[in-house]
Amino acid sequence: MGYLNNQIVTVDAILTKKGRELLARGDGGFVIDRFALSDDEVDYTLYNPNHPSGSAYYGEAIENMPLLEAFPDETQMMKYKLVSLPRGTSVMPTIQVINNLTRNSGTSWDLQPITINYNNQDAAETSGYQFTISDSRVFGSFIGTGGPQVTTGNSVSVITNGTAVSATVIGTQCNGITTSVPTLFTNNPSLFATMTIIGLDSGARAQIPVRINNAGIQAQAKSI
Amino acid sequence: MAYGDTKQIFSTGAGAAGDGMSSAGDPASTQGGSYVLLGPGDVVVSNDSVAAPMWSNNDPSLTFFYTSSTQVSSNVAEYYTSVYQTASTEVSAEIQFDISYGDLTGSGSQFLNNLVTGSTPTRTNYGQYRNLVLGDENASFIFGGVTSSYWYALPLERARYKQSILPGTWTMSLQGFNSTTTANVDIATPNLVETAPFPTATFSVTAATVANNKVSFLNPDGTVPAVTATDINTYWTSTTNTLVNVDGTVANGLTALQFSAATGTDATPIKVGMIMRILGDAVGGATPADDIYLRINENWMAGTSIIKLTDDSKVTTTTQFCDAGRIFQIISGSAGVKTPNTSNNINGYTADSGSYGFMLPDISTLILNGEALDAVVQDGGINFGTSRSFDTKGDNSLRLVEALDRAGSITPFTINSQEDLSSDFIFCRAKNSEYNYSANPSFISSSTGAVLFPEFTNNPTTYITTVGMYNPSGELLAVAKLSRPLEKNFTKELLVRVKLDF
Repeated sequence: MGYLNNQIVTVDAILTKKGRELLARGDGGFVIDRFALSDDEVDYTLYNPNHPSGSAYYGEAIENMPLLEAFPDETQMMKYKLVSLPRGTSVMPTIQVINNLTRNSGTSWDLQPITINYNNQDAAETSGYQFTISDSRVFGSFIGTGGPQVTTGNSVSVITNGTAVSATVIGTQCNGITTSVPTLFTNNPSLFATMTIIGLDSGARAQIPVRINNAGIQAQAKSI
Repeated sequence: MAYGDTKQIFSTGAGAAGDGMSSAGDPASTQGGSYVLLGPGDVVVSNDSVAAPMWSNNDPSLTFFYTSSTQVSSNVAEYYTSVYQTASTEVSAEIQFDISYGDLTGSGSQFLNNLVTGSTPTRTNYGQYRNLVLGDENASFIFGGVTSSYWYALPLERARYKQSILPGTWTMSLQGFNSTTTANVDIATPNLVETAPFPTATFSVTAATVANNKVSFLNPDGTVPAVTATDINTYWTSTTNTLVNVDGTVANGLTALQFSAATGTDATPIKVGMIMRILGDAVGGATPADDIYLRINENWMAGTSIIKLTDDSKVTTTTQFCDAGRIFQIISGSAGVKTPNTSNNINGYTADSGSYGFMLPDISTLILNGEALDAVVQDGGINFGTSRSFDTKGDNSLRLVEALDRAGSITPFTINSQEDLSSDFIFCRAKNSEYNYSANPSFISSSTGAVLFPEFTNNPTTYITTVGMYNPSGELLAVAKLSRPLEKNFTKELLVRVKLDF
């Protein structure tokens, strides 16, 4: 008989850029009411179910891996969330969405993801999706529609951050208008960002590149 | 990563049409998703006090005290002097604190405008701190029961601390002037001879006898003080550094009388400003010359005049408050422990001048009582000799820097800062049925979307590396990394306490 390990794992958290922004804004947006766990950095191919020393050593390579410190960029953390699924699940739900989002400045766009292997079918998740744009400045509006949580953080219509800060909306679908502010482009023909989509029921995740072309530069090129 | 046709195995079961969240008491495995709502008992707010060294580079001790010659020569120096931890020209030089001298009468500095007598920087300083600390333009600074009309304020540089001084942790040492070196009085070049109302001395140095009764002391106004010639040898007690040649014969050709350290045990000691009188026949040979009158300045003063100061926060049982928040008396001692300097200040105060000042932690300022510093050594002071001449630049702040610097190499200035840190402790509980699958691409077979190993179907194993904190909009507000991956499966539960400091 031995002693049970009753120690609590204690970790120090850091605020993300988004957390600092909401804290500074002071409008009540900084309210932590939920948590999630992720296994960022873990390569499950290192898991060895054929380890000669037995099952206690299957995860030896993963468990001994030193971990990096947390990054303050919220788009670079919690990439691969752990999900709660019924025991016996053999195929993971995955999100199907267009491969990329490329638009000219000042034009509209929309996303309608579906989840494969969701509830015995390929369909939109009942609770909807969480859409996160890594640089909110690339959109003039960013709106989530549909689903039971559509009233919670579903719209970001005025985006005037001086630096790249993410924005998140919730819905079964998402639409918006690309930015029409020419000064954001400076001398660049395009703006780039990434859109991360997470299924609220399944935990599945997809990420697509976003490219906004400067319509003004294109018009000039055509005239030349 | 691409996914081909997949066969449905996953089912969200009952409750799958919920909000995609699990909450305390909910069987998360029947709902799926990645988020768990925190219950009322999962978040605990805690306030803890954190202490840290005050000085640059987290150095707890300040040994050397530097000023900026540029600042000293500017008009700003009339108001305050900044103190650096190294030469101000060094790249690493940072202001540690400032020193400003305040005087109710405006003494110790020149008039701001000659048309308005009495309006001086020291008067301005006095009013500024009176407003800040006392909040009453008619109030006086009363240090330990004794009113003082002049003081030295030491506001600590804001960049050195986050919130306030930590009471009871600091020690400051000050040393009076010339306590270890000798002072030579050049009687042949009477540059120190007092002029009016006393006559200028002219004398020739020949063999002469300087005896006790040939030397006496006068008050600054010329009156005879309580100290007598007989007391001189009592005061100048050092056998090796007595008033040299008193009670002895001055050799022919001697041009100076040498004075040096006295231990300051006399009850009626010599003070700065007093006048030493040497009878003319003591130095004049056969023909008595005029008497010599010498003003005692601080450079002549002697004694073991090092004092260590701290506050009485550990001594007093009740905390006093003023307009600047908490207020503690500055007493003799170290790190909050009272240590009387002499038998005259066993309560930690000076004998007659009250406490050594105020420690105001909430505005991170020390105010040193000028009268206490000016007190003689045996009364607990350092015979500091504050310059209080009217319409005269006294450079008192610089003098205090010198006093700090002399003592710093013996006992450094140590002080800690304090910060009340508000922390959220968030308890994240992963039940046995939760978080056993992963959206990690390496968890899935690249061709089919199936879990990577057949063993993962019934006995999935995940490794937790990161905890994320979200708001209702699903925005990641805070994140914590574990020191190593923690294994999770259907036979394990996990409790992680996340500490979030503000």
